[in-house]
Amino acid sequence: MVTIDRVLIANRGEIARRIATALLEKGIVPVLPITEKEYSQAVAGFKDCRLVNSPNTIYLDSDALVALAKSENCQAVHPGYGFLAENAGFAELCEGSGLIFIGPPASAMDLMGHKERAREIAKSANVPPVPGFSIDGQSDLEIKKMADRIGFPVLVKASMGGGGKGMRRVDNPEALFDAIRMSKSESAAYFGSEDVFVEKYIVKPRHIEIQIFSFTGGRTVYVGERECTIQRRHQKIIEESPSPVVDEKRRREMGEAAVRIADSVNYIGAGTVEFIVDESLNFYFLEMNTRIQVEHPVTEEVFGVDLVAWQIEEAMGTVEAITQQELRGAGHAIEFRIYAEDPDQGFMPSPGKILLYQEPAGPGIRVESAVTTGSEIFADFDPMIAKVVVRGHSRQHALDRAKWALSNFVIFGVTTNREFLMRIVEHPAFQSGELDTSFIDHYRADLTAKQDEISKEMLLLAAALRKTNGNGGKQAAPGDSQDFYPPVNIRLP
Amino acid sequence: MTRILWNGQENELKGLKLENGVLSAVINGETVTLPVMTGLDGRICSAVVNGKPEAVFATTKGEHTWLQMGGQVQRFQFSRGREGAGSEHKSDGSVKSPMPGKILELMAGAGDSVEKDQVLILMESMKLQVEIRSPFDGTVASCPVFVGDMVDGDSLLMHIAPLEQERVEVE
Repeated sequence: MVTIDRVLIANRGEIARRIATALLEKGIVPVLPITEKEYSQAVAGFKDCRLVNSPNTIYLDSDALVALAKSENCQAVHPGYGFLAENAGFAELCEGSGLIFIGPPASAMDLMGHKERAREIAKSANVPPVPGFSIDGQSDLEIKKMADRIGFPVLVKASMGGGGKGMRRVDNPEALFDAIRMSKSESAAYFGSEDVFVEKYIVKPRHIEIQIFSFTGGRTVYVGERECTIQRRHQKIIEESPSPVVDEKRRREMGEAAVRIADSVNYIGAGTVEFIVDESLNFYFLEMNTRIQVEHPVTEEVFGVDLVAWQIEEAMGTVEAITQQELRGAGHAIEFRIYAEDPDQGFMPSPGKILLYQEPAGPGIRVESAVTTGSEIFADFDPMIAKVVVRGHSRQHALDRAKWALSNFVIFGVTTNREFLMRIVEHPAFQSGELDTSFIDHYRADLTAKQDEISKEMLLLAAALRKTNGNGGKQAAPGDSQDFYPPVNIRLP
Repeated sequence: MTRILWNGQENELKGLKLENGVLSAVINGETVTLPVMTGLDGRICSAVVNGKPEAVFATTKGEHTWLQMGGQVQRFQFSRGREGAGSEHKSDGSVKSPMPGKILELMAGAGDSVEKDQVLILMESMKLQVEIRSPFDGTVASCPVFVGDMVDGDSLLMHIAPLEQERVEVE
C-alpha cells in the first residue's frame, strides 16, 4: 500500500472536477494548475482544492507539471483526458521523478499510442482492424496503388491523433494527396508528428467501444459497451450504454476481444477499446484509448462502479479486483455533451461569458461541469461546457429524462448545442436506435432550428422579465428610464 | 413605447401590466394576455401556456434579454428609439472576426484583388480552424492584423474596397 495524500490533476474543466471529487472522497488533497485568466472563475468550482496559478502552457508542459507536483509535495499525478493523458513520455517522466502516474504503464501507452502499431497488436490478438496502410516512406505512386486496392472512400488519419483532429474522408483518388497534406500539417500542429495513415472508410458505420479495467495481478474485466455513434466533425456528442444493437452474445465477443488486446500489452487500469461496427454488426478494431474517457459516466451509471475511484485505488494498491460475473449492468444511461457552439453555423465555437447557469437536477440526472454564472468560455480550450448524463430503467425512460433534463438546463450568454441535442433526442431515427456516424449530416434538415416567428406571449414575457428579473433589480439597464417600463404590480400569493 | 428586436424582426410593445396574475400589453397593435405565477420576491417563475404551466428563466445584460421557456432559449434586443436599427446587412467591406481567436494565416494582403467568398484569413479558435471569406469582389484596402495576433470577437481584420464602387452606391 502506498500513502497518497496529495495528487496533482494535470487538467482543467469538468474532468478536473470529476477527479478532484473522487480524490476528496478518499481524503486526498487535489492540486490543480490554473491559468491566470481562469484563476478567479475557477475558485468557485474548486473551492475545496489547492489551486496554483500557472502559465497558459502548463497543461502541455511535462517538465513544469512534474516540477509543480514535486514542489506541492504530491505523490501522484492524474492526467485526465486530452492534453498529456496519452503521452508516454510524460508518464515516464513522472515515474522517473518518483511520482505515481495514475494511468497505464508508459510501455502500454507507447504501444497503443501509435495507431499503426496498435493495429498490428490487435491483429496478433486475433482482433481484425479496418483494412488500411501507413504512408510512411511510401512513394506517391505506391500510396495511390494501395488506396485503390482497399477502395474509395478512404479515411486519412493522423497516426498520433484523436478527437477527429487531422482526420479526413476522401471520396476519389484526385483528392487523396490534398487530404494527406492537410492531415500532415494538422497532425504536426496538434500532435507533433507528421505520421498519417489511410484506411478503408466503412459506409454506415457505428462507433461502439468497450470499457476495460485491468487490475494488477493480471485480471482484466470488460465493463460493457458504449455506443458513441452520434458525432459531429468526428467528435462524439451523445454516448449511451448499452448500445441499442448489441446483445449479450455480441457484448461478450467484443468484450473478450478488448480484454485480449489489453492483456497483450500488459495493460493496467482503465482503458477503452474502440471498434467500428458495420451494418451486419461485424466489428473492427479502431484504436485503444489509454486513459479515462469523456463518456465514462454512462458506464458508471449502468454498472454502478466508479472508474476514477478504481484508478486511484489501483495507484494506491488498495483496489479490490472484481470478477467478470460480478459486473452486471442494469437500465440505460445516455450522456449529452453541451458545447459552446452554434449548430446552425456549422458548429462554430461561440466563446463568451455565461450570464446565467442553472443545472437540471432530479432522479437519474447527473451533470458534470466546472462552470457557473459569470464564467467565461475562452477560445483557448475545448468549448465543452458540461455533460448531462441521464439514467433510466429502459432506453425510453432515459430518453424521457433526457428531454426533461435538457429543456431545464439554462445557459445564457453563449450559444450552445443544447436545443440541437433536444432535437436529436426527439428524432424518430434516434428514438428507434437506427444510428450511423453520418446521422447529423443525414438528418441535418430535421435537426436545424426552424423558427421564423416569435409568439407574442414570448415578447410579453421578455418585456416583463426584463423589468422584474433583469439586473436583479439593482440598476436599470442602459437606455432604460423610470417611465420606460410601466411599474409592475406585485401580488404575493 | 418599447421596441423589441427578435431575429431581425421589430416589434412594438405598449402598456405592460401585471394585474391579478395576468400579464398584458399591446404588441404590434394587438392586446396580448398571459397568466403568470410570481415567487416570493415578485419575480415571474412560470407562465401558463395553452393551459400548461411552463418554467421561465430570464436574464438581462445591457440591451439584451435572454428568455427560456419550454426548453427553447430566445434572445431579444430592447430599445426605445424611433427608426429601424435592424436594417443593415449590406456589407461595408469590413471583414471582422466572428469570435476571439488567433490569426493563423493571411491569404491576401493590402492591394490584392479578391473575389466574393475567397478565403482571406485562417483563424484558430478553440482548436478549430475557421476560414474567413470575402463579402464581395474587390481589393484589400487595409489589413491591420498580423499572423500570430490574438484578436477579440468582432474586431476588424481586413477592409475590402468593392470592385465597382458606383454600382454598390446606386443601391
